[in-house]
Amino acid sequence: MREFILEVEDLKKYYFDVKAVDGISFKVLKGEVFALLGPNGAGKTTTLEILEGLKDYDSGKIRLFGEEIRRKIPRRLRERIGVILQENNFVDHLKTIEILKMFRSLYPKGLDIKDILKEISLEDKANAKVEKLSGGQRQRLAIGTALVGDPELIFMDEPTTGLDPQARRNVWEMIEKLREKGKTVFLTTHYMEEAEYLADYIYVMDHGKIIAKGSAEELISSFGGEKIIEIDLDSKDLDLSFLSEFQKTKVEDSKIIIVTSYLPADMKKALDLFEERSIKIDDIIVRRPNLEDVFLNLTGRKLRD
Amino acid sequence: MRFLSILRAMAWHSVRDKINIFFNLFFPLITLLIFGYVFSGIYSQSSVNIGFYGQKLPPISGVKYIEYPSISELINAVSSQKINLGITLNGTALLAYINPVNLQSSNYYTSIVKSVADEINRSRGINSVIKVERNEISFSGKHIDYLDNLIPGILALSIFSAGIFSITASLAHFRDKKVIKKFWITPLAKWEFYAAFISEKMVESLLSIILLFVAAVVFFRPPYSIDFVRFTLTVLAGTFGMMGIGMIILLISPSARVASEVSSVLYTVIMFFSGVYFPLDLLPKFLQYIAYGLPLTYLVMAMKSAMGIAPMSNLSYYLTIAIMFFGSVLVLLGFSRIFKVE
Amino acid sequence: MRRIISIFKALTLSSLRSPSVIFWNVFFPVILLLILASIFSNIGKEVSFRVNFVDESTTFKNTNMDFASYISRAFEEISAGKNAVITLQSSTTERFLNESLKKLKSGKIDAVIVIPPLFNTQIYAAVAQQKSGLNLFSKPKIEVYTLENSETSDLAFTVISSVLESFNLKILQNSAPLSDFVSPKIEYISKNGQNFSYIDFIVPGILVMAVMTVSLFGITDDLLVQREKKVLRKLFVAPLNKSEYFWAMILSNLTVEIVQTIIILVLGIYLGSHFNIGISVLLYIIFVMVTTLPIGFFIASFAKTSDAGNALANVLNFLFMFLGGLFFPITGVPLAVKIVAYAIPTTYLANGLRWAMGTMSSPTPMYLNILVPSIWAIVMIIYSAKVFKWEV
Repeated sequence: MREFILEVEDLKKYYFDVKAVDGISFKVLKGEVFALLGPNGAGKTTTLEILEGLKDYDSGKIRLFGEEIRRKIPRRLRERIGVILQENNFVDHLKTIEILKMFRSLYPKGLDIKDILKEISLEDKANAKVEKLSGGQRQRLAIGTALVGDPELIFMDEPTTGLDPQARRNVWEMIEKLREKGKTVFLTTHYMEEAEYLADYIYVMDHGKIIAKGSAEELISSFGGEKIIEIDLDSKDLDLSFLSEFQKTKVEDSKIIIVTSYLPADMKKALDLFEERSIKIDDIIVRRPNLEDVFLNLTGRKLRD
Repeated sequence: MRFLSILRAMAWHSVRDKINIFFNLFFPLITLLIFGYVFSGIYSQSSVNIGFYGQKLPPISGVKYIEYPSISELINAVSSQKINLGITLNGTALLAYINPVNLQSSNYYTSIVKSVADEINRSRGINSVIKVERNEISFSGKHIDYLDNLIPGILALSIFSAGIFSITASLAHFRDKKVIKKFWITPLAKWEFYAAFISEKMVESLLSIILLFVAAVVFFRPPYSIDFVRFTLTVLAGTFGMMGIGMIILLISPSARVASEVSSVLYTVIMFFSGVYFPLDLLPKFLQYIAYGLPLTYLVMAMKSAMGIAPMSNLSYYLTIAIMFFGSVLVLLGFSRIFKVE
Repeated sequence: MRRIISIFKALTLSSLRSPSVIFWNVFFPVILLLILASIFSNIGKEVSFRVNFVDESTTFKNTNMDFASYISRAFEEISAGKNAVITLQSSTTERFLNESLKKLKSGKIDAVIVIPPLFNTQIYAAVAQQKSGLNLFSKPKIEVYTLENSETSDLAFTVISSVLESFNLKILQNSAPLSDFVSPKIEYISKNGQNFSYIDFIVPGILVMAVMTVSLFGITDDLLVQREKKVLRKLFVAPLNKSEYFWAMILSNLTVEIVQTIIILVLGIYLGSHFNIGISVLLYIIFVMVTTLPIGFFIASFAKTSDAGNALANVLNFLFMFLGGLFFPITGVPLAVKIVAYAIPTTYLANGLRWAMGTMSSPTPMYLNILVPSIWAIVMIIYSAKVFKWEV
């Protein structure tokens, strides 16, 4: 039986009347990559910072490594956690290697600095001052500082936001490696492809609540055998009320999304309807649903709104 | 050791920061040199140029006479500051013209005019019956001039700025860039971080004050009999005490930018009220009350006593140090509770 | 032109809405003017001294020939009343003398007057001598102890010696006719013949400082900080020329300077400062504004980062302010410092402005007051034009 490394029960955090975290519960299995997916402002970072011990919470229960924690995480547990914050600034004027050494000295056990440098591919930047590093290099260094204590559980807040595609690939590979080593990774993201690619288990969060959970496969198959017809129009602001003939539709600007469980009939119907109204169609795609559609389906909004 | 490794990191951070070095070492040094020369020129002149018209005047030590052909030219020379003062003997009146610009020196000029008059009277056979003899004594028994009094004041100002800005600039900067947050998620305890940060800033302040002091000694050779225990204690407790003030400023400021602005405003204004440049006795009464309410005033007094040029009893000295120290401990305790890392 | 005006509007609004710009450019000069005026117009007033009077005289005690007691009474009279200049403590013991000297050393009192034991005898001997023209006996001597390098102590001595002087005068009047006695008379002179006060001196100084501050910190902010924040880049990808930004920036800084100038002049008049306001003053103020602006360009061109620019601005500000004699006249400084003082533009600007405002004649010839700042301005403009980069 695999054990749960982190269990959260009915966690609440209100800022006056804003319900940042509104009674969420979840369990993280040891060794899995766990993703909290949601748009900006959904309460992901607040949740994460409560778990990291940076923020107080109003009510709820948190069990970390099987131990119930209250306001503060005891040091012996913090020694087993690594954290990557959204911001990756360091004490200025220090060199990469000095930063790593400093963080290494904060943990009782840990990895060799050389191994870490190699792992985050910053060997040639070991003696560069941190303020001279690029965004991707800083993010890798941030990961390095989180891994230097050889933690069992790693929290990552939006690990690839603001990175270019190549840097993002690098970070993904690093997370893959961590999974192979048997580490548990808890990450937040608003990129559905990131969650889909990395996570073993996904919780979808919106307005402080969990609105869906499961593996990417499970979430997508919650659509059943449905397919997505995506129609691009030439012009917007047309009267599209006729779309109510379909079960599930969504209109965004000039794009129409139709969820269908019986493709041939719905496709024909759609084409006919557009033909009758002589609305010009620019492009039609038929595809499998993805997490974006799941979210759209659940909330009526897109992830990156 | 966690504490030591943070301390080391902070030390590298400060030493490699050119702007930090500039404002903590170079700038106070310039202040010291410029103020040293400008103010000692105003308050302790070695020679005075006196212009005169008409009858020749008797020689006085430290006075150089320059003759002017007319009274209007004499007055003009005074008004354009070519000479320090102008004198002319008109019957039994010795008229002296002083430029009100030299207000700070006018006392000194008045006494010179008086000795010129005495000298004239003596030459005419009129001798004062009672001789008034002035004996100047000083606290240390050594000759202390304006500059010697100014140096400890400037050092105290440096302590003041080092303490306040270490919080409102340095710590606030770390907070804004979420560097502190990054420490909070490691096994590092809060007190370890604060202890390392504060110790490093105190050592930094001590070293820079010592360097400044050495520079002052090299340039001006002041006759101090320095009490090293008091000197070190004053710098350390002073820096820590001013950090406490910095923490209060940071807590009541909405942002780090505001905190840093508020502290530079405070620094510039307080500079004039703390007995550094002008003796407190000369301030208008209500400003004196303000001055005695300012912590910098006491820091200046403590520094002067450490250099052996002004008295401060053991009781009031150690009370000052204790208030600065424990006051800041209290502030720090409150600060670490209230201070948010974001 | 339309673009210049819209950028000018944006820059000016952003300055006027920034509390720190308003503070340093408007409030700070005003506060400094108030502080300096109140400190320096207070010198010699509202001060009181603590004086100990030690009467050690032993002869002619309790007779009407006890001269020492007359002196003591004279000081007691001054110390009576509510706002007395002197707080007096007197005694006759030697222990009191030692205690008093100890107190003086530690700054608890400001002066100690000591009447020596044979004082009364010596007085009468001296008077007798003066009448007969002999010179046999030593003269009576009163010792006044003061604290070295204490302004208060200095002032106390002035008061004490003037009291003792009046006794001397009385004795002389009794012994001989005083037709030849010369007494000093101090006259403060000013150029315009009106009652000159220190305020007249610092108003032009503060004005030069204020205008200079705008250039040092305002221009460097508009150029260095905006360049670092990539604001400039954003503006230049929009259809805006560099020269358009440049002129808008100059206009916006001039606006701040004009606001400052008006406030300082009005406050100066309110505080009782006398100065001419005429075309020459106006022209010279404009001259000050125009010649200080290039200092900002120079810093922006010389410094690579805004931090370095800020540091350089602070140093120049300090040098120009205190060595330029803006608040205190520069006298009695070593040659090297004097050379620096006569090399920097603010010395000449302050002299020129004071001359124009009629507060005093300029210590430097007027042609230099125009020439030196102009040379500085031209050199800095040429340097900046060659070195400044709009992008980093």
